[in-house]
Amino acid sequence: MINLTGVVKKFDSFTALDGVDIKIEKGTAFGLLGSNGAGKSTILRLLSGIYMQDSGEVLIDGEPAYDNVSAKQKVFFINDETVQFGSFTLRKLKDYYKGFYPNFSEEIFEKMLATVKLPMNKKIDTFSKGMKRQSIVITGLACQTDYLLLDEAFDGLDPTMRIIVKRMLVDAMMDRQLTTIISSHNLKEINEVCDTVALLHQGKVLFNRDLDSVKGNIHKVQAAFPQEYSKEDFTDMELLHFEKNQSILYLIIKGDEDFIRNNLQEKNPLVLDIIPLSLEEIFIYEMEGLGYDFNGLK
Amino acid sequence: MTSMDLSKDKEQVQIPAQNKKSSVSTAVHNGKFNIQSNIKIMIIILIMHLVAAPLMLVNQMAVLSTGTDENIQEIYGVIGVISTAIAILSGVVVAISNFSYLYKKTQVDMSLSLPMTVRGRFISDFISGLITYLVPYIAVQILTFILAGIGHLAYDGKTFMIMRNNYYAYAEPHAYTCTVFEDMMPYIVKLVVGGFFIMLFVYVLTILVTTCCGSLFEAIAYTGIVNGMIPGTIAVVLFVLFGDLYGVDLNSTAIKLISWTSPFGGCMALVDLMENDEYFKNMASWLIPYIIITAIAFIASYFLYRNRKAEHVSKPFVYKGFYYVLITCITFCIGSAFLYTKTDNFIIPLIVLTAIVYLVFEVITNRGFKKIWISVIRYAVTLGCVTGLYFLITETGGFGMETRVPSADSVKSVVIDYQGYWNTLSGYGQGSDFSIILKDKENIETIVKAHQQIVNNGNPYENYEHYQNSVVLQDPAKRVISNGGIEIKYNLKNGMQMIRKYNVLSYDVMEILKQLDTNKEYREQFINKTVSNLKKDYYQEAGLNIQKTNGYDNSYYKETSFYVGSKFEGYSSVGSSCSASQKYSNLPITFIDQLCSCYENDLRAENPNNYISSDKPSAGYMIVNNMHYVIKDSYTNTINFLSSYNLMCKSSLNKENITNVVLNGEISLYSYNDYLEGSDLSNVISGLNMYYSENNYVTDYSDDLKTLLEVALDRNITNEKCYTISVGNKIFVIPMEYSYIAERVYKTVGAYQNQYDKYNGDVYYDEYAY
Repeated sequence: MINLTGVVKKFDSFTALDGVDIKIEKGTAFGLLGSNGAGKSTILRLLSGIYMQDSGEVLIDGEPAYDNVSAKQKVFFINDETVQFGSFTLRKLKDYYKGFYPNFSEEIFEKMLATVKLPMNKKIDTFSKGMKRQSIVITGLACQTDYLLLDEAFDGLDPTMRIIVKRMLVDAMMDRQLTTIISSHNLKEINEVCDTVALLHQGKVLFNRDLDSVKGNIHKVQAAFPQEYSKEDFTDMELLHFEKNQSILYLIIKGDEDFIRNNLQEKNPLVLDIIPLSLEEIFIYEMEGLGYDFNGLK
Repeated sequence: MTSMDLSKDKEQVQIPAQNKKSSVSTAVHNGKFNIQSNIKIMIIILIMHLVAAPLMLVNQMAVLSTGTDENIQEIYGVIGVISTAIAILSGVVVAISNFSYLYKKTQVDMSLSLPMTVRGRFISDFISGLITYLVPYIAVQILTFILAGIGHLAYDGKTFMIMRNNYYAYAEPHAYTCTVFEDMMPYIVKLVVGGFFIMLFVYVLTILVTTCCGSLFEAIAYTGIVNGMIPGTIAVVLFVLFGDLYGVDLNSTAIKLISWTSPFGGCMALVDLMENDEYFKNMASWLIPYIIITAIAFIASYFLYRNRKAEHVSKPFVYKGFYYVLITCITFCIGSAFLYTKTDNFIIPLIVLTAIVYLVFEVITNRGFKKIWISVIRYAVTLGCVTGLYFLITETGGFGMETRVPSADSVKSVVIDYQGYWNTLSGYGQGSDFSIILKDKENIETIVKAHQQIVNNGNPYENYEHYQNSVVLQDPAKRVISNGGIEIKYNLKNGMQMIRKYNVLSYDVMEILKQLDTNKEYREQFINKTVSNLKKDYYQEAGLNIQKTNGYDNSYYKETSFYVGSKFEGYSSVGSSCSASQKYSNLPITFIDQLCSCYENDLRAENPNNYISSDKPSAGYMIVNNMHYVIKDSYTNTINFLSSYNLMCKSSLNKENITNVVLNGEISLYSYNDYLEGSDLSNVISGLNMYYSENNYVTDYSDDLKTLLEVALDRNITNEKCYTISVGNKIFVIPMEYSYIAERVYKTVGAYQNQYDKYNGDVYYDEYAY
């Protein structure tokens, strides 16, 4: 289990994380969402022992992540760079990481290699971006760590390869309870892979819960009423978005679906539809509620 | 769970038991990989070392076997120096390469996320880089010894020429033909061991700088700057600031400090150890502090590395204090140079230059002109501080160093380099060592008392009036005594050492010191040193093996001669009118021992009290290896011995050689008044150069000049205001009874000098002058 408790991390005068509390159970696929500069990559780097927190605790199975070999051996971090191991061949990359991770499996590596069909003896900097990404992903999975951290890891992969990689991840999660933490702006992929998500904004966690309850907690309402209503008429509910198009109101409301329905029924709607939102829509409307929207950001 | 097609019916694979690799094993693995990655650099370093000593040895063997051109050895020597320098500098490349994640943002995540502790990563990167850098060096040294051994066996172990320098065959005997394992081994060991530690320091210093920096440009640039600024700052502080203090001689301290604290200094120390042993008497006196400093740099690197944050990569400096220290040192050095020279209107160029340098550094470090106004303020504060520090040092006399005199009770012993009241010896022979140890309490008190008097008199260049009114020992018109001065090295009871050096001694100081010449502790050592130096200089010039340490090849020196000349010998071409010489090859091997014996007897026979009270013209000088060993009229043993080898002559001056000497500008005449002008002692030596005279006037007073030169004394004790005459670079005193002749010549020539000066070089005859 991963535990971040009261974690504060600053970069000079900029506070990247401001008292973050996150608990990630073993075996989950955890998605980190957030605006740019929210602190997602900072969390991943704290977990992989690259950064040290200014205050608070970052624990991997009860052990501090920073400067701790045994904790670090449980974590494999794949970042969004593709240039750092350019001078290696795939064989050398494999041998390099094999020396650090005690559970490295040649069998798994070969099996995945057969799928992605990458050359072993060519230098990685001759690979395409996608091939570089595949190289480090299969290496990371072959290390058989307990935790796999992915920072924009699907970037550069073609659609087919994305599916293959996702399948590899899921297989690993199923096989050995791999805990995956994915930071991505591709909410569709988070939606497909993750079962738990956390949304960060300006260093703070807005919510941290399983995906179903996230989706179940925010609804899109399309309604028409016999009389005119304004935004202020809905203050008894947590309204994230209010839009009127002729006689149809489009509302984004947080809360229990039954409560919302009952509340709106009192207003005798002519039409009332409650529609589930995609994760992307949830993200956009949550951020809009915080002033982080395409109207607020000029 | 997800929309993926999950393989839910897959067999569950047993999760492997959590294996662990220790932090040591991961660090070792990392180190091995680093070495593999750096294999190309290692090969290049190896090649650079191979084309140095081994190539020279192989060529030498070829030369000895086939008799081919020996001069090619010099070309290999040059190649060897260049390739060795490249190999040494490659330590910078290796260090920066191994720690690339300190400045490359793309490397940080990969390197720092690996399962290693901070310490493990540092040690493995450090050691793997060290192996890459130093193993080729060690391997090549072993190969060199093997090759030397082959040469030793192949060529009967007798003569295995390491190096031959045709240019200096007659001047400086280096190792021309010698055996490696006998003659050269001490030097080789010093070179190999010293080279190893110098390379180690290059490597450690680069890592220290790289740890403080966050970008590649700063890491490389400031590695170079640090290597220059360490010796540079020490040099400015000790040579320029403290070196300007009267009597304070921190040259030795500065050289030692530089030698201990920088790779460049380490090279200086090695040269000293190979050639002079002037500053370091043995290898340990340099190497042990050097290793300690290297260790301190290593420890500092580790602690700075440990406290570094990954997020600081790509900043110019991770530790800004490091940058500010350097930029302050640079400003200090430039500012001190201006303040020291004190040329007219130096303030504006000082401010302009230091501002330009400082602000350029700031703009580069800040990557632009943002907050340039803060940089300006910072510069002003820095300049103020360094200027303040400069004046603090200079105005307080180096925090009292200039005027400090230890108490006699605190002194355990004193080593003085002082050639006595008469300064009978002069020159710069290679064997000359006049350091005399005084342990007698009375002598220590004498030295302390003299030292205190020197301090009370003040700097002669600032307090010349005191020196003007002093009665001179050898130059009454000169006011000051340039008799070699005195160097005092106090060995204090607290284990410290204090060194002072005074080139100019006034009469009151000489009066205190003269008791040394009659003191047994001083006199015995002085005589022994003089004789010992004579023998060393003789052997040096003759090319004989006095201790078989360097294995000189005698064949180059057989053409040089043992020389005895007049009192002007060596100072001017007028001296060459009388001299005597014999080739060393023609003198028997027992010559020097017999000569030394005679000379020693003559020195011991001198009555010290007479020795102090008066002096007579010298009968001549033995000029051996650039040292002048005086032969007084009273040195009958020496004179008789040398005469038996036709090595004594009396000087005979004639008009022709006097005229030639005058026209060559080698003679100047000084009146008492010449030294009253100006406040700078260096001006008083201008005197009256006879060169400015017309030829016919030279003819007119050449008889007078002949008389003056014949009666001129090496030194004279008198209260009278005498004329002095310089011949070449030595000054002689005209006895008082001949002043009228000197005055006549002086006035005649003086008129023309005045006119010459007045018209800036155009000679103008003023018929009304004089």
